[in-house]
Amino acid sequence: MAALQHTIDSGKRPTVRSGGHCYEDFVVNNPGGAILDLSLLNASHLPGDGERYRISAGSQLGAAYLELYKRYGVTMPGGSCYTVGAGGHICGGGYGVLSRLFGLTVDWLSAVDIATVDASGKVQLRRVDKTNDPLLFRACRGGGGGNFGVITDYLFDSLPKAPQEVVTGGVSFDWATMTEARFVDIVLKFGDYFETRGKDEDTWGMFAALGLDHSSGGGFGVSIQFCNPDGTCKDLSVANEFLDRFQDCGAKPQHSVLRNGRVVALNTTPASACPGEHALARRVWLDATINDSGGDGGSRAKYKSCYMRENFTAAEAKCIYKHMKRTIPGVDLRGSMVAVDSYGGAVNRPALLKETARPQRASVMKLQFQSYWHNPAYDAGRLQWMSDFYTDLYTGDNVPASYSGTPYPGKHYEGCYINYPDIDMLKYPFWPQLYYGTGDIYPMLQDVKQKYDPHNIFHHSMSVRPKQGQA
Amino acid sequence: MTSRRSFLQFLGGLSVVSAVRGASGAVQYAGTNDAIEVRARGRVIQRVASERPVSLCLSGNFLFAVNQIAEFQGLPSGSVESFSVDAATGCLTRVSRQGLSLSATMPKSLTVSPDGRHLVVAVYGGGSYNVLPVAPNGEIGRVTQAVKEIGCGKAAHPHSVVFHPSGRFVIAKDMGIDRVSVFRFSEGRMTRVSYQSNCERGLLI
Repeated sequence: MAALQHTIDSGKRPTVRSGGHCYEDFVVNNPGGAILDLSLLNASHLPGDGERYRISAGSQLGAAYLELYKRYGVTMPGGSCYTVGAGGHICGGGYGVLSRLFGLTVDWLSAVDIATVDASGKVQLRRVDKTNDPLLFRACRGGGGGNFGVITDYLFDSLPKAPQEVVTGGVSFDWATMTEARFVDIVLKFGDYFETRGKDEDTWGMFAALGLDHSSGGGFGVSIQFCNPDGTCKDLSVANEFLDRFQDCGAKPQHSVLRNGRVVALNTTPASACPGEHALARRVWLDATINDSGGDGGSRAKYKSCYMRENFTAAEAKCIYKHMKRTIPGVDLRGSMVAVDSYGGAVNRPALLKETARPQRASVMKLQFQSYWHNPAYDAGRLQWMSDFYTDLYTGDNVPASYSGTPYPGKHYEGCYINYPDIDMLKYPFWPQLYYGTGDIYPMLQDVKQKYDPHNIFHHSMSVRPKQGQA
Repeated sequence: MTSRRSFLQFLGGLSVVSAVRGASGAVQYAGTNDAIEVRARGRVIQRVASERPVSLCLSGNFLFAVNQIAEFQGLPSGSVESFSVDAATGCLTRVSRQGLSLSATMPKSLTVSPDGRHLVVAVYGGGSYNVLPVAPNGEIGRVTQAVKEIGCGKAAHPHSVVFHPSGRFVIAKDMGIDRVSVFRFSEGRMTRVSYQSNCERGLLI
């Protein structure tokens, strides 16, 4: 941590980078400052760790999954993108394809090694857990990166046993023949499942994504990854039952995989789907997890997010339809989408609300608005499309007027995901409540900021703000 | 160029800069809570909207102001402004407004390098200094350097800052820790020459 001390002594601002996958500019926008790059910090086991599992901040998720599986046969329920760094991903919650089955990665966390900077400017190395610096530990369980110090390692007393195998599959729909009524039907059928049947424990091994692509892209689809709670694929009735829901929606079977967090259709097989006999590809879990998760990188992108506690309303589905059909003259909107991911299951254990810093423990779906493009000439149009869409969707009966334009936590919504940060939300003075809820979490994070980072050394556009009157 | 002399004084959080002009007589610029007033012969001849311009600085044909605010464009930072000065009347035309670095809240004072190419801002709230470039047309560029102060167990609150007439040094006063700091200024960058932030070394000048 000499590098951190040197940075502080020379008056520079440190930002911390593990994988460099931040959706905003929090790490790299540091003029004249110092970027502490942790990507080579990837020890997986050190003498003295005993039975504990160690994930260093610089580990890429894919490498961590490989290591955990090959050494111990376990995994962590984190994200699906191979090259995302553990450092920022885990402390923001660490949600992924196995989260319905196993919860969030922070739900399993036992201790964190973190370097903080005290009031006199001295770097302090700390191992924080439920007994030592318990509030700082709690803050590291969902508070998000770049807030309190430099996290170097995550330690886990136990981790869930990795599934042996999974099936992947899905159905797809053509925009060419799509009507508003059918679109609404599909969206509501998806949401209804997770509001009702999806709460039953035998379904928790199913991750489903409804990838609603802009109509200029040609089609959209539902993709799943499924295993039984015991990590096998002996009984596929849950997966088939789910896909059967879309039978009368004009669904075509597809083989699809998740790649870089996006649903990618592979070769489609039969021309129509038969009830109970979907084209499910049976795969070794590790193969499905490691080999389909590369990111192409290098593109321009914008993201937003929303947690939903209940199914879409018909009005919301119509609003999504409208924006998927919208065109903006001179702007190519292909690659613009909202991915509706299944949520809930093991995540929604209320006790974790008090233990962690992730407030979303009652949602059944998580939406990720995404747009990818290469031509800088489309910047304004792309951002406009997403901003208009988002504002429109979250204005209306489901949101009190004073929180209009946002999925403010309430009966219907549960705010946004800090690992999908969106600086557009800063225009709302209540943005911390969108990301951290309306309970005690944000005040707790501000207390931790005051105690462990009194000079606000670690900050970015959306970092936890010092309390009023503090530096 | 008219001969002029400028000075700074603080009046309960507001700021005044006077320019003595040959032709039009003395012109005075005064910051209020929400404006900069241009005064001549005892009356206000122009009001330009601004946000808490607590420190004003004249340099060449430009007036610079620092806005003592905690949030700018949704981000936790203060801002600085530049105006061109009409040579005949002393009236102002806005040229630019630029945000400070993140966490640089409630800035208190600014100084312009003698060559007019850089601004240094003392950031009271965020406990730091910012350096910003100034283009020949008076436009202020984005922050190129932020120097974070670590107080001696208490928070640093840089309060005033001034360039040495040589342009080679910046002298700053910190109210949080009661210290004066001297920085070398070279090629647009500040480097501390006295008072280390770890509190172990005293003033070396």
